[in-house]
Amino acid sequence: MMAGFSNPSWSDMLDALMIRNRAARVERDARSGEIRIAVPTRRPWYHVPPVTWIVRAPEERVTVLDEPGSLVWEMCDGRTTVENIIDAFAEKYGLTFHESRVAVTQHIKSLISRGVLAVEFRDPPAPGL
Amino acid sequence: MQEWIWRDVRLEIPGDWEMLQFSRARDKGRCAYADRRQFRLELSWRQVKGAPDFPRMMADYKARLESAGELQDAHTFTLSGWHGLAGMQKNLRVSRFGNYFDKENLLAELVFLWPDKRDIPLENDILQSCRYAPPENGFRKIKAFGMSCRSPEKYEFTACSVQPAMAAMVFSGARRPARIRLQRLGMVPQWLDQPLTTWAGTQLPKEARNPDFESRSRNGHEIVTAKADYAPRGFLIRKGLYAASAWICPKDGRLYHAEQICRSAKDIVNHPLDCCGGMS
Repeated sequence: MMAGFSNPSWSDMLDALMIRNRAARVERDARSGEIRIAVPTRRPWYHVPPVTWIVRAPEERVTVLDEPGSLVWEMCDGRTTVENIIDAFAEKYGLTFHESRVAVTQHIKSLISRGVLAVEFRDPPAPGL
Repeated sequence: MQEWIWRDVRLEIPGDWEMLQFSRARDKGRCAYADRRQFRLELSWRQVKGAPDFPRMMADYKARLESAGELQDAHTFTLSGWHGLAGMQKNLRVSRFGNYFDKENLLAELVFLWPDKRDIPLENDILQSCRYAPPENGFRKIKAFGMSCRSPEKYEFTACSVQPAMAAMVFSGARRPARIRLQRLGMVPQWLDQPLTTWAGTQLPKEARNPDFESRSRNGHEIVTAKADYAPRGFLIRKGLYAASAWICPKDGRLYHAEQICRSAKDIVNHPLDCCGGMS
């Protein structure tokens, strides 16, 4: 089992800050409220000729956020804690704190896995938590 | 304080505590409540054959935890009729209480986790509010996740699903197709893009035939009701009735949906679901 930051408690997550990928290109659709985030992809090791003659690897990975997702993205500014994002989300959509926590943290996890966001823990959780 | 009734045990807890874990079994189970930072209260229940000897049970429990090095600074006491054991467990102040509800032979245990120091007035309020809530007039009550649910006493609580902005409970009768499904859905403006009557029509099971929709108002709630014949295709499959009601509560803005499938009109439960008290 890998020790460290792999499984922080929800309380640790509340104090964390979300940092945007600076290489990401962001486009807003004013009419629908959607946000398109394009993150440059790293070329995989096997993507060399002759593979590149046949398979084209995308240069960007695009993530499209709907209105609730855009609200979370807008608040991921490196200064607002996850707890404050959860509170704002709960107030906007009439949810309880834990409903909002589950929705926001699931969304944040998917954005982290897509390389859009990174997480910074205020006090890194102790190994083995 | 907010009232919760779960598996015939009623208690009042602070408004910002939420149930994050639960089990549906009647004979033995547990549920846990948390504030925004950590778990604060665990309720567990177990049906037993008779009243336990609480002083001896608590003394044995204390001795066992102390000898295993799991509990420090421990002492036993009685509060609001509950037998208590408090101490430090893994750097957290913990107080445990046990009680026996003799009408149902139910042994209940409440475990409080205190991040700072024990809040004895709060502990006392919760203990005083916690009691056995028996079925009334043949109906069992569950009050949880913003829903007040009423199901016939003989129905089993067969499913419960809780997700962000969606809670659903299913109660099933012993004889098919008797079933009640209750739902509470949030973030309604984000997904409901059609009239409520149309939405209620999309929720009809495929076995529903000749649906009839009506709209009415009750205590400021605009309710859409649907009635239909429940006629599954097949040989020797029991037919019945389908009845449903859906409304958006003006107080919390959530959509409530109660569906029933029953064998005959006399089995239809009046108001199985309530939101803010406007349905009762």
